[in-house]
Amino acid sequence: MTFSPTSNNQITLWLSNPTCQDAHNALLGRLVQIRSNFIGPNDEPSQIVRGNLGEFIAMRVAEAVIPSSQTFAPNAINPLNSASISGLDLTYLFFHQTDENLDLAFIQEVKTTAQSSLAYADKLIVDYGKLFGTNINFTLESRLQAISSSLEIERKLPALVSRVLKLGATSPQACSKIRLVPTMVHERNGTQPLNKMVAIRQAIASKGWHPSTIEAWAIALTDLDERLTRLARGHQ
Amino acid sequence: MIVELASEVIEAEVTAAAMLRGLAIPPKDHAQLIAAAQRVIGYYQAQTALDAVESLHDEETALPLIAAARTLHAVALDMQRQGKEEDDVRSLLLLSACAYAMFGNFPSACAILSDRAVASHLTELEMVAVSICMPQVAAKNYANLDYQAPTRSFLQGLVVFLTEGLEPTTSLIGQLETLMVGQASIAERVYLRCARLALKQLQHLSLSKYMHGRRDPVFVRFIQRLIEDGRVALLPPQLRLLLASKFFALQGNALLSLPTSSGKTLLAEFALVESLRQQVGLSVYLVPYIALGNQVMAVLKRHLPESISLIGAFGGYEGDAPTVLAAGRTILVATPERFDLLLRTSSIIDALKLVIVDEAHLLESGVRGARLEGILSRLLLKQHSLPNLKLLLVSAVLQDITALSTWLKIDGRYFHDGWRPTSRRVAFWSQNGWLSWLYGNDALRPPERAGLDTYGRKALPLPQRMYTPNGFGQIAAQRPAYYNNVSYLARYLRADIGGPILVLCMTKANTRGVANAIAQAVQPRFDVSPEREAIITYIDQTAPYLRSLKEMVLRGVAYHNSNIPPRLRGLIEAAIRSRSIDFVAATTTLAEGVDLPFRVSVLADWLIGFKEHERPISPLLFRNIAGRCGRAGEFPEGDTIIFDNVLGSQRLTQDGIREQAIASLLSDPPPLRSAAFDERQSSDDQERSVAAVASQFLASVPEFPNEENLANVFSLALYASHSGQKAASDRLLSDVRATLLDSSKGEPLAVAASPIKLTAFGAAANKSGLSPGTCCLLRTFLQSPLPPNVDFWGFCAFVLLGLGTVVEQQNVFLRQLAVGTTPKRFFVTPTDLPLVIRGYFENIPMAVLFASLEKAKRSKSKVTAREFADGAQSSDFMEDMYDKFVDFVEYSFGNFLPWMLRSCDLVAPFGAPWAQDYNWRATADALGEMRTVDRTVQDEHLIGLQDQ
Repeated sequence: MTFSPTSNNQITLWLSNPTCQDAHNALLGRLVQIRSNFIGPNDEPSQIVRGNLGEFIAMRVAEAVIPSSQTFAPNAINPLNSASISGLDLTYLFFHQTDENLDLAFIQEVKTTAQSSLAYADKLIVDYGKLFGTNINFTLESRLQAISSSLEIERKLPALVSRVLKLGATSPQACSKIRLVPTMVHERNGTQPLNKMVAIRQAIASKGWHPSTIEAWAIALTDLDERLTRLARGHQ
Repeated sequence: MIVELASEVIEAEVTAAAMLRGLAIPPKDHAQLIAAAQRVIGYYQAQTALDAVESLHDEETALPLIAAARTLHAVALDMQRQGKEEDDVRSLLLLSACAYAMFGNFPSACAILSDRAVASHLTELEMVAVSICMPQVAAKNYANLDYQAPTRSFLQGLVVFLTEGLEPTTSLIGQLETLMVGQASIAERVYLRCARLALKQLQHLSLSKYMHGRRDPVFVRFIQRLIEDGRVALLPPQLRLLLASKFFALQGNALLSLPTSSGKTLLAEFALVESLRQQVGLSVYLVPYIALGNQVMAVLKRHLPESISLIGAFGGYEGDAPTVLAAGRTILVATPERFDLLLRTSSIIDALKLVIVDEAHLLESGVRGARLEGILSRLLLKQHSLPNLKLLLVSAVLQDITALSTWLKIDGRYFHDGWRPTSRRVAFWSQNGWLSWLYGNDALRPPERAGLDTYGRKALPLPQRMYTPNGFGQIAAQRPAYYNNVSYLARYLRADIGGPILVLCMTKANTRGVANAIAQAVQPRFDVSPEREAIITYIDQTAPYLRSLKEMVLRGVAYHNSNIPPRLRGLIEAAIRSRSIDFVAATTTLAEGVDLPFRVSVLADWLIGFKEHERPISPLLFRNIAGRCGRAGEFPEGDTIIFDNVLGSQRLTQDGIREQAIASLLSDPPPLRSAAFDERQSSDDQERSVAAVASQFLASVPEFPNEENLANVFSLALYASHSGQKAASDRLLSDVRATLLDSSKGEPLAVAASPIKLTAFGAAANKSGLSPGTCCLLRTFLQSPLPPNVDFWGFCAFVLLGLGTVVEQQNVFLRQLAVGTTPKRFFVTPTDLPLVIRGYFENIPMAVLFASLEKAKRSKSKVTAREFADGAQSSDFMEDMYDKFVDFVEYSFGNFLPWMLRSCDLVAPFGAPWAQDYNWRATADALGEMRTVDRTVQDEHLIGLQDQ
């Protein structure tokens, strides 16, 4: 594990372990392993690629701690692909082996910011708001239906579709099988991630989500902006 | 799980509908409503639904999905109205369309996708979903060469399947599933996941598949032509009836009852083609209205195979019978009268294979209903010797068909289906200022609710107070308030729900008054519209007296009634179709059976008839009117609002009584009554109906030369005998028989030679379509002396006045002139007649003729007839006088006079020498060539709308 958690009232701060460069190396190793198409040594990564890399980092952390039977992360799986599929960040489905009532879906929205203010992370509130919004591209049900297609057609697991549909609900209050993991990948130096994530979590809960269903994450890396560029170029 | 979701989404649908209409209900968040709808849609997207698409054609099974589709649509419109994010609205509309297509409701999907708000900025994969849900555009979409290879491959396969019924090597579903994943966005995946089930529906309902494997060239060509016309898919009830019942190969008479817009006409087309598929002969499609006949002709022209001839014959008995060749395959679209003429004057009856009666509920409608009953009775009797002849009665509004079934010997061939492509919503605007929406007979009505229960209401005070009037004076005094209130309601509905709005009135004056009040309150439309321009040009050049209509049209408002010149009516209809007109106030002739795209209809008048015959419109007529808005393919729903109009006889409009009477409009229609014995009619109408039956009996005499007891047999063949009026029917036929045999005034019409036989006089009279009594009066007229020194036009006036009292004549002013009384509030005098007839046939503009009448010139009205005719001044009084004038002229000269001239031609051999010498036919032909007569006035006479 290249990141270690510190939890406080459902806020988890992830710090690289032992150093940020170690985490960088582990992430780079994974990118090489999946045969990423790195950008040229003098090219700058686009905002989409930076966002995808943030999702990639969040997914790598989540892989170790979120119980997932099926992971849906089209952008994070191939972060250097400059195309991004809107509306589908990270979703992890947990199908209990014996009791369908214990099935869960973890929805991880990710914001990546190198700014010391961390203000960009506030957009997580908007993103989660869209799960019960009026834009079809972002609603919870749309996400579950899109995942159903993947399970049925790409992964040849049609039997799971009916279980996916049971994860949803018509309001945040009624979502007993959904877990939210609002995640900020941020600059470690000179930032106050705990306060930011406490506020974000409270704001999401104010929309009707039960607080127990929300666990906010902050993943810290030093020199984040420059580090993302190096990762995109395939540099250590 | 689905049960819980179903109740949630049905509740959501009611909430969304109520929110859209601004009703006072506890509102819900749009997002919550969307989530409820999407949850349900998710369940129906699953593989299990793909394997059972047919089950979704059952409204009970599909109810949650229906509710979901409607909810999304209502939410989208509500958001649109509130100016919410355009892209969100567009997405919701698109998803709603997909949901409609999932249960095979392609017309509603198409209606939504036709909205410009949806059609713009579609992504490639959204276009795939659209091509499935609106399959008639698939080929057009395939023409876009910018699409990627997998998309083009799918579209190519879809187009080939829709055209030929052939599946590509890689199944369409398989290709679509490839598109459903990959780089598709979440929303695109959702649309395509819905579209997969829609594609399954399309495969199930496609016409091309139905054609596949058939070798019969007539049938195959018919299907090809339907597809060429964009009819690529059947509606669920159509498929059900065509495949899973005996409808296709009728073994006897049948009854077809489907709600409005559920595809009756196409089923009738199938029946027509099937009747001639393997045999030559004549099949007939009877239409009650000329306007509907023209519409059916246009459709059949596009659809029928070239090997089937198509003939149209519309109008009454004033024209010639259509010429039908016995050889070959022929379909005749006709009004009952023209068909009757054909039966009386030719031997074509032996070639008859199928007779379809459209709008068959009009059997109980006045003189035409009585005539139709008689014609069908003759055909029923003929079936003894012509076992291959079948009858198919078609209606959208029949409920209790027990008596009809017995009469027609339906024997299980009652084909009905409650599936509706559009939802129908009904509201009531009460005098106490509440606009209340009722559950009606909507499919989603909760079982514990009644049709008259309201699901929401809002305060909408009438701008001008009205009260139950006591006498005509108080009615007249309140007319401005009535116009303004209806105008307010129409404008409110357009702003709140959308247009175009149809306001239905029962008099021409009310159409003008309402339209004028609306026009006064709306701003001019500044968008360019060739259709509105055409109306304005016509009025400027041809009908300046319609200046007020021109002013209205500039504001997107019009009125429509039979006194508007036919060409101008056509232009107004074109403007309605192009949505260049927002409001139309019309008499019900516009509404009866003709397809125009109205979103909302307002029933401004619920009373019909005059004086002691004033009565609420029938539940049947109300259902038909309600069916005029929300046409399938144009809108997914239609709203009908009944205005609580107090203007009318106090016996009907008093508080308490009025509410009950209006509620009765919404009740289930009772079984059809025989028009011949319907005591609700005025005594004149009842007399005419009886005369129509008598005429039918006369026609039956030569058709059944060996029937010993024809009067009894014919009586038993009448619907009246099967609907509780056998004794009355027997009495009537006995009286008619006596009239036929009456020799007290000369040669009788028939002799009782056991069986009864027509005399030469009877045989000639029979071809006129007149009743036996009128035939005898006609002979008396022809035996009377010819007045000296009459010119051609004077002679026409002589005929009109001489025969203006016969029972078949329907204009009250002509009747008064014929008996020598001077009609009040009417400008034509007997001395005017020759000049007016001449002017009419020489095509002098009606307004000019009107202004030239002596009484009009002498009128002390503030606005002179000349000023009115020139369009210099408007005047309610002059417009009222003009209405009566046009009614009188069109009916008397255009319809009644030619009928009488042709009848005289037949009976003249039994008249005086002058009558025998006179060339009646040449006169009738000459007049026919001089002017194209507006026959739609006959339609209004059928409904009882003539303003007298």
